[in-house]
Amino acid sequence: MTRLPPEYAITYPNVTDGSSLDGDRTFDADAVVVGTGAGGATAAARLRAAGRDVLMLEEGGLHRVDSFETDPSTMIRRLYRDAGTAMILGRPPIIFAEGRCVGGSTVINGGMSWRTPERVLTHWEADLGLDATGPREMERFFDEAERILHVESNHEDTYGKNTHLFLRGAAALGWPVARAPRNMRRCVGLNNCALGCPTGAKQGMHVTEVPRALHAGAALLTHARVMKVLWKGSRAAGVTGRLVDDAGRRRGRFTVRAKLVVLAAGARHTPGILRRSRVRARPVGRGLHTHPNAKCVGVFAERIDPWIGAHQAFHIHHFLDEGILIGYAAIPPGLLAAAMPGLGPENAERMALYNHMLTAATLVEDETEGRIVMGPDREPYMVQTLGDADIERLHRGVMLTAQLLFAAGARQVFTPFADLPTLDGPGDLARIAARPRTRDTIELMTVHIMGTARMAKDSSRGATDATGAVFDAKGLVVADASVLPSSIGVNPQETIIAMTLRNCERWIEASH
Amino acid sequence: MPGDAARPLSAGTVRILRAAVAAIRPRGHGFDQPIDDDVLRAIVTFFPFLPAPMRFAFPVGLRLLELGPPVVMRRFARFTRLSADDGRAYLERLQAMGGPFAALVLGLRTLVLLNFYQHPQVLGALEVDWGGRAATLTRRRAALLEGSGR
Repeated sequence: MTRLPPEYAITYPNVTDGSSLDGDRTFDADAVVVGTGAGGATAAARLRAAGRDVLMLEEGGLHRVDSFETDPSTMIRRLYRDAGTAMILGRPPIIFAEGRCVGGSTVINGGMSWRTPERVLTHWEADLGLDATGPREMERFFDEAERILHVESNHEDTYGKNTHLFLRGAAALGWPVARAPRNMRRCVGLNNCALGCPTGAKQGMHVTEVPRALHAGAALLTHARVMKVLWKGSRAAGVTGRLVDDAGRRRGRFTVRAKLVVLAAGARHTPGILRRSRVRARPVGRGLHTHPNAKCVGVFAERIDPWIGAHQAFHIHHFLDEGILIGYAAIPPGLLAAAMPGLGPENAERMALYNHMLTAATLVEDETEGRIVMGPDREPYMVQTLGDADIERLHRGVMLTAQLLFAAGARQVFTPFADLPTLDGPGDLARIAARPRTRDTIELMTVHIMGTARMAKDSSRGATDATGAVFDAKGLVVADASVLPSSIGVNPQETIIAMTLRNCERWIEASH
Repeated sequence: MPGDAARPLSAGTVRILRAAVAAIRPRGHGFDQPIDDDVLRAIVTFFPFLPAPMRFAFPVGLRLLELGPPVVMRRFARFTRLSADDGRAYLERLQAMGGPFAALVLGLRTLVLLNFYQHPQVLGALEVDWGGRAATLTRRRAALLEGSGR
């Protein structure tokens, strides 16, 4: 008999597929939760456990683990918002990807589960005056988040040559490596995290808090795109929006009447919903941080088979105080090719070496604050032009990453700079420092945006108070990366969950 | 407008996309698989999932791309009439110019390369079997969990 992983047996009761509904529909609940990612699913499970009648809304569909494939084109269409084509406008422009499916971006992330660095928590509590956000008070929420996520490190039998080369490079340079805590249950190193984990190992919200909330009695409406919050005076009274199909085509309208509205649509769309809902406070949409990453590809004489072995079993946090994190990942040929220079035969010549390539990346903590602006189509657009300090940090991060690849034995490194596409040896590293700081020729991407409805002591500095409740609006709270008061410098999944757990306690207490 | 995302691409747009596939697709070095039709089909399938502004701007950009060679290359021919090599040189020149046409070329390049290199024949040539590995590892994980009682 063929054995199947336990995640294949998960059931999802109380789910309505919104794409199968026509006409106008109205639903009632005590609490409506907009979004089913790290924040939304966590909030829904906690509110349900506290006895609330909860309805979760998700714009994307419910995709079971057994439906996940390894073809990027198929999975990007199914799981990513806008088929992964969103862009943060500015210089340089930054490609942005986020999930649009039940489980949100936890379905497509790399499963990194880092706690917020202590210096960041201390800054929030001591400098920004946000009570009980310091390391000591937050510890129990991180403990709980790690229990929910089932955080563990990769077993050695999942390391591929990519991991061994990364470790070899770090060792040669004397840089300590950090074993990455990841939300997984016996990962086997398939390295398909960004397209949905078909082995079921990654413990995203689609296999943890969403089914937990549903089995406890919460309900879920998929293919439901929220447009606005409904109001009764200054009190939120529910939400309204459109039912859509898998491609976003409109099917009908819906209204949810609820006393508590939890926005967890991500740091782009949560401020978008607030803006469309006449929440005009100036801080809404401001404070955008993007944690951009730039990749370098090392070409080795030996065959690596970079697609074999675990995704980011290690990180380098040695430069975190400078705002620089270094990791590595296997990228499918079709996605890596787009980052390689050249068309036609030129691209072919490089991609013929695919099995000899190791992709490493630097993620930098950005100081520059961008913002969300509403377009003429009433959709939120992200704008950020990185400042000089961020550009310098980025160059240093790229230089360190290329240095690591050469130390690991790379004979050539492709950089993210279109005007400096290749480095042919460690002697070329100085060319990065000497490169003119032209912004338009740097290729960047991110999956970590935050801070656009940030928590603050007063409404002049943030959109939400120290519990994530929207200022001057009763019954309206935020539970996603929007509330994070500053850039955190690490992957935000665990921070979002811990902060949601903290804030949920306060919402539940306040409603008694 | 209901149904706007499903509007099929016009024959003219598809013709320009076909020329773009021919110009951009990798050649030589083991990448001469006759799969242009499959790549084109995959790109057309992708199209409805793009955000609305892109769905409207993309065909307009392609029409301008079609008419650009006289301006950019001093060649009095449409893009679809150029050979694959000349078409590639034209796209490279557009990309070097920067601005919205460079963004259009970048988008086309991404779509063509994604769907080319992920084609089963190309993955076979690269000796990459991610799908086969997924099936094997899924069974292995199930066995490991069963064995450990987790």
